[in-house]
Amino acid sequence: MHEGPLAASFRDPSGFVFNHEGVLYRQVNQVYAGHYAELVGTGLCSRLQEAGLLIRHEEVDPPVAPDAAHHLTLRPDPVAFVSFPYEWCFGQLREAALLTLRIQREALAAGMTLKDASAYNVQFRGGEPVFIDTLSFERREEGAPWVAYGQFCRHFLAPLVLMSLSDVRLGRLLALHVDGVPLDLASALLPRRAWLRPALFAHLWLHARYQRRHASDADPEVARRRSLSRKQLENLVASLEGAVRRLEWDPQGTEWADYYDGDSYGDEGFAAKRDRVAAHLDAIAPETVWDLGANTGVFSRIAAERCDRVVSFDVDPACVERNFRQAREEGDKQILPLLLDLTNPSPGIGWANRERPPIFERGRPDAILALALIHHLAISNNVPLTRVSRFLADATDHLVIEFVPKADPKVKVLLASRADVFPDYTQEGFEAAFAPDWEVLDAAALSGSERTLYRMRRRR
Amino acid sequence: MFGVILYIDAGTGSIIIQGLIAAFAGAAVTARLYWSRIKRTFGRGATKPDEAEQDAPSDA
Repeated sequence: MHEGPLAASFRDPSGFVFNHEGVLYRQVNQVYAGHYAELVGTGLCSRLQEAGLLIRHEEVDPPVAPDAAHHLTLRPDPVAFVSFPYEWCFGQLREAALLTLRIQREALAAGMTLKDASAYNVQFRGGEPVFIDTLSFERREEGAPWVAYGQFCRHFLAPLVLMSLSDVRLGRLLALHVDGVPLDLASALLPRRAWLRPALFAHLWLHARYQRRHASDADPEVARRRSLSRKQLENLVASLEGAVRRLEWDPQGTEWADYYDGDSYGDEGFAAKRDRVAAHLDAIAPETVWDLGANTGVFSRIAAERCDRVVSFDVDPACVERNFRQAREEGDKQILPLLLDLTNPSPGIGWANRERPPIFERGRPDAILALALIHHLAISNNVPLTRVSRFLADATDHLVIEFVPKADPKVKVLLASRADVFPDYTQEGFEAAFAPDWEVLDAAALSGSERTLYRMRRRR
Repeated sequence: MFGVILYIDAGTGSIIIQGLIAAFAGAAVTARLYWSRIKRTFGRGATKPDEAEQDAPSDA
């Protein structure tokens, strides 16, 4: 027996996803057989896969005895690291939205439709979004409206508009509302100027009014009588596409996005740091690296030259945005930039807190880079160094970590307006705090600064 | 063979509003198409009609 459907795989009766011996499979149920045949038979599936829009899969023999509902077993290409929409920057959510609309357009042209438009159906391979739910396609009945239109507005349009016109941090609302931002909430939060855009007025404000007005309609005929031609649905998709394309958010003026510009080392010191980090990574030879506090991903790129996959985390939406744009421009498939507040990482959300698992349960990297990070945890957030050590030791076996002392200009800024209640925040204190969990393999001062770079290995 | 598997709630309000928007978007496409033809007739048409069609619905 396999371990049963994954915790997130329970809504759609068309099938489910399960793990068997570390490999991900998707069971297609008999009830979906006709739609699957249509998806493949119309050539839609291969067209989308060849264009890189839909995840590739192979039809395989079931790895374990299937249940009575079984029709087929698929083995989709693996996704290196599963991320969720509340961990994406504005640009990532926007690309995911445009991908979903493009797929709906292609589906309509093939006589099919997306029966859901959840942001969780999209994952990222580097800068490229890919649709992962092969069972989202359904043969379209003539005249049928787009069932997933409301879901698209909640999962994509509402958060994007809030991020673009109100505040980029409102993207985090997606972590509170697992089926997307309610449209009445978005309408209440948006500035009035949003309604000067006819598309936003219609898709959000008017949409929210209609939802409220018809919320208690018990007569199914009210909805059933509405008939939309394919052309009309194409217009609807084009309208959404235009609205999304017009949304912009430019990364500037936040805390860290300009960090490297006014840097702490000087050019020579920074080059030396890059070389040392590279040498440490060469010594570790990891396949996967997490770069915590990655800023715009300078060191993530050094890691990506030496390993398969890098997840590049930062707390600042502007840094993640810049990192993502660079990944897209370079056609990168290795670096996944994600938004992460290490002092409050993504928790488990959804049904039983298991549907969307916490971020640190979604993978274990071979190595972690923690550069110019420790002072933010220990001083800005008062986390004792022993806990930082324990936390990192739970997450990985190899660590490249930079200690930033109180004499450093960046730390002086952090201490400028508060009492120094950190008597143990010294290089000796740092080494003592990490000693129970970590064996130091290398330690060297970074030229041009008072900082020290360590390579450590977790004690068994 | 084609069991309908609409497992999410489309929402009556969402169904009605999308019909209105789709109709309005269609009208906007037509209006733009005619407008670009008029402009072309008077020799000011820098926009090709198919481009107008691409742009139009987003104003719905």
